[in-house]
Amino acid sequence: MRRRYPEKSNVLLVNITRLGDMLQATPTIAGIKRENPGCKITVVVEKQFQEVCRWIPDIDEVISLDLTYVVKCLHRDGEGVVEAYRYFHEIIEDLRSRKFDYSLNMASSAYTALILSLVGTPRMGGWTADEEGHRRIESDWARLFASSVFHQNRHYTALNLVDVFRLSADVIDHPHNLVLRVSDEARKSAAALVEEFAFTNKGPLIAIQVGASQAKRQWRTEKFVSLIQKLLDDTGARIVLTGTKAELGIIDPIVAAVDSPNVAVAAGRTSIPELAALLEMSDILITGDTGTMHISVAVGTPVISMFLASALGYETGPYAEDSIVIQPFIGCGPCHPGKPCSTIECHDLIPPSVISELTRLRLLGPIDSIPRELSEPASYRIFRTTFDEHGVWDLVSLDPFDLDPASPYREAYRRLWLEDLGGLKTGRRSRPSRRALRTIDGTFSSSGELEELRLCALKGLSLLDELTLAVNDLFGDPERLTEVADKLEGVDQEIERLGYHHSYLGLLVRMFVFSKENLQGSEIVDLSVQMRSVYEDLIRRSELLGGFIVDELRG
Amino acid sequence: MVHPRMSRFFEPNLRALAEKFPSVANQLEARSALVSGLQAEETSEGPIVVIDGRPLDHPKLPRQAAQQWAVRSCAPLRSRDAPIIVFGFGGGYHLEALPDEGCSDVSVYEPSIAVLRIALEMRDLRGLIQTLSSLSVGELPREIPHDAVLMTRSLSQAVFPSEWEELRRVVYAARGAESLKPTVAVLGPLQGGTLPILPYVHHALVKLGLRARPIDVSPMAAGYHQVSALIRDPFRQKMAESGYVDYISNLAVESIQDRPVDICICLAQAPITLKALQQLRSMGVVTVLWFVEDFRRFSYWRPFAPYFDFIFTIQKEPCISAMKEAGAAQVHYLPVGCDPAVHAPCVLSPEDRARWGSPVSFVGAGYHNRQQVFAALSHLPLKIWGTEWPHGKPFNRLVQEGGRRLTPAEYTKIFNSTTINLNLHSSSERDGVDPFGDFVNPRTFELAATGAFQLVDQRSLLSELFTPGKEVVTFKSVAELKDLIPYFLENPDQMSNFVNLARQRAVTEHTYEQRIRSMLGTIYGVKYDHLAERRRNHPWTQLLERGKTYPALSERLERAHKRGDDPSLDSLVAEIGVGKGKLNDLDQEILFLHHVKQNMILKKPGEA
Repeated sequence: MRRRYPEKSNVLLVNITRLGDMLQATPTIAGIKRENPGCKITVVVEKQFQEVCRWIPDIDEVISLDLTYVVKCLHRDGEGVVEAYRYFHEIIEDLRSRKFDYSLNMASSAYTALILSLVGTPRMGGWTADEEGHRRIESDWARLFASSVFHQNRHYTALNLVDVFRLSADVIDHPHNLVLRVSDEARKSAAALVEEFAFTNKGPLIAIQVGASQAKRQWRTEKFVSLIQKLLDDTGARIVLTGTKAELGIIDPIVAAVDSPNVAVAAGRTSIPELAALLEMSDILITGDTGTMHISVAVGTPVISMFLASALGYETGPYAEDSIVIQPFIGCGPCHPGKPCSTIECHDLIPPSVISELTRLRLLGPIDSIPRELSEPASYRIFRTTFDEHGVWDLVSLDPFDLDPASPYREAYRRLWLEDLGGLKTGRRSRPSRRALRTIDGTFSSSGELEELRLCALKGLSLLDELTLAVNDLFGDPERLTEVADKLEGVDQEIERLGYHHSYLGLLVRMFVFSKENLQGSEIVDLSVQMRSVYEDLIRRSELLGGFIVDELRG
Repeated sequence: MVHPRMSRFFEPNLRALAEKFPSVANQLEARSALVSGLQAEETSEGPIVVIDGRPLDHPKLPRQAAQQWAVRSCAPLRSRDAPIIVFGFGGGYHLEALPDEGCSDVSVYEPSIAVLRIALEMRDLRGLIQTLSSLSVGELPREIPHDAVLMTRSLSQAVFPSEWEELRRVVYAARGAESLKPTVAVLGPLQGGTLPILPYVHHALVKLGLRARPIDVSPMAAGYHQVSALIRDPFRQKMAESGYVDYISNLAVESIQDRPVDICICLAQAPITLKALQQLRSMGVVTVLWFVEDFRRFSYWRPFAPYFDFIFTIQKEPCISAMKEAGAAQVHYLPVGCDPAVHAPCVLSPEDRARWGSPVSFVGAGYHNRQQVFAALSHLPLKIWGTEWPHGKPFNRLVQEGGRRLTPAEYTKIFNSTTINLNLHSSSERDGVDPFGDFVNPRTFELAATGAFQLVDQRSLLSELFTPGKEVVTFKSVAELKDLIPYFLENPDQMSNFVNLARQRAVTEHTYEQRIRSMLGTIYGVKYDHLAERRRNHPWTQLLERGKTYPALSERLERAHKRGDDPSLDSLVAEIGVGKGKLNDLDQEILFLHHVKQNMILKKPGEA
């Protein structure tokens, strides 16, 4: 596999955003340690996640950033500004003194990018800022990460963000699961808690995470009630409802409605290590796309997870073998994470009976196929999580018929990124002929727009040649330079237009845009050389993608 | 009475005085030696000065008491090199004691020339005179260093309380101008002739290096006018208008609460309620009214008088007494002025001259007396500019551009392109020139600063601002005006001298910057301690103090402070231009804090 910086000795990882993000970084952390056994890994996290880092193996040091304190200082203005400055300045000074040789930031926020820029390690990955304060995304993998989370491109996301993150850090050898250590003390507490619940059933211990980060991603109360009743009836299960104290407001009505001694509430009664231990004890977890899901995966407990509303299984699905992902099949999904929804119809597309049946099947062992009746409504898709021959996570559809029109394109993109960015072989490929590009006849493409995109990039290359000539021609017309630059701008605008107009090209074009943003310097000739490589990338990727799409559509 | 034995000291002392302080010696020679109630009395340590039975030196041991006073007064000094101003000469014993305490820069202000005279008669003070840095007698020292230390002798203070108060004010004014730097809000009126003064005052404050915040509510005037369009009944109309003013007043208070200030200057007609003034005071804001109107014609100031810490008026007596009787604590005379940045000569294009120019012009509202006077001048090549002029003859011919309201920039064009600018102070009662008119209107200063020739009606306070017959030409009656206009139109060469001298006087003595400096001096004199305390507790003070640990940040903070920005992160961010060159570490650290703030404080609820 192609790698930029495989060797690392003193690593800074900036990951200050959320619990889930921290856990999703664990295969990368473990991988760095596996590949560089003597290296030291320091993680900068927001203070509230500092405790979690204690339970993540391979982290040598944690530096916590108390953003709440910074915000409090800034909120009072006046001398609070200096206090906030002092606090941050000292952290930066401290980080600088540690002389990291590699740093990685996979949070897209402007402030984390500035941390990397300020610390100024010789080798960087992910989001940083250039010397003028502009965003800079180091490495193609990190740009793919940014392009994939760009909302309109999410339909074509085919790689789990855990892997994109990992590959951004040039890590190949990695555990096929998230990693979290569970202490004996936490195990004792969890066991005591389960004992305290005094279940009357003797069946499997099923954990259910009701809450989610957004209301629209939280399955409706009546659905949970129905699911739990069915689980109690069909499996004689002992049900533990997990979550935080704040989620009791949505948990209590479920408990009241079910009214069974075999339904207990652990929400608000566990620390994160205890929750991990409780999940470790459990036979399975039923959840949405939540932090609890990632903890469960990390402790080796299989997951049945529903990716509702804005959640997308391909993006953040449970990073482990043989968990189950259910994705509603609806035109508006996955919806924009930042937009509210007043008619959350995707919730109704997944019947509780399906979850109950999948749970029952998974309790018996890994699911390779599902009974026909489970997939008949075609209102959702069911996947099994797995890893391919390169150790890259994947979703295998358990439906006999895949009705998702985006599937061939998604698969084509998966192969494109693994081959073009990773240098991995992904099987047969049609010859990427111009004819092939013109004749792609999928649901999404019928007018040869991929060829149009390629031609635009070729035109860009030819204009760059003209630009170089105009710059070197000392006696030439200065107007000529402006004219060529205007034409180049026109070409780039046309490329962007194609990306917006043909949704399946969005990902390719967004990569082009981010690469363009990364151009460094102000000398025309220098910029022209860099830009040449950006156009060449686009041409090569267009041809490869065309070939893969033809393969997938034929296959 | 001075004993004959003592008078032998006078001549040698006078010679020493003439050598060191000639103007004071001249003052002494010009004044009679006899002042009733003033005498020298002998003590065991030498003669002392007594005025109306009250001693200005210790009645028994003047020398010992003076030494103790000097020790006590010098004890709190940080440096003995600081300039010292002593109030009262007395017998001079205390002044002689100061050098023994190491004080080398001693100035004296003695309110009474007679006291100085008797002191020079009764003792040999030649040595003392040589040690003094300056000596002011009868009038306050012209220049007071900002770091001057005021030393007071209770004996002199008791005899000359108002003079002591005056000296204290000027000392604190000088000190305050250097050290206080308060943040000042200026609340303008909704509309009317006072409105243009708002930006002038703002400019003046900025030029004085202060953090100034104009509160311009004039865009809300349209709402005020809409009241009469919506409501016919006069009583309801008044109620609605009053409610509207209440709303604007609350808005002003909210604005000040949002971005605190130390001083709030309300211009005449500013929409502020008594309740709002009380609120401002309770916030520790010094409330000031600059009443730039005729106190007789407008009496709305009366209920407000007790609620302002300071009132500045453009009239002297009886205005000042009337306001004090109404409960005002501090009332001071402060005429209006000019803003040389706006009121300046300019070169106009032929088109502009054709539009704005005329042999004779008048700019102003159509008050009763102006209507009478200008109707009588309608035979002249006269252009009238301004609002509230009657329709019909002869004004429909004289009034320009439909009698619309003009901007200050447009006034200036008119002044610059007119041969004779008429300046008739308004009166609602008189038919012509108001024989009892006292204050001087802004137009007088504006015309002078613009370098425009003006004929102005006589006002009792005008002569101390401009010299009639030298800097301005005045008229007492319409008849006189009628004679002056053709005279100057036929002798334009005679105008230039007036114009040059008036402009010189206006821009050197009558700018808004000088007015505001004077206003603030008065405020500092009374409120120095209060404002100094506020400054100590001001967020900027704390911010600047804490920032000193980080030189680069400190420099950035100083710049933001000088710009008049708020003590906030946003002020620091404002200086950073992303994509406009290389950012240094400080820029990036500030941007980090800015992005954290944007993401975590300003994020709307419910946002992902």
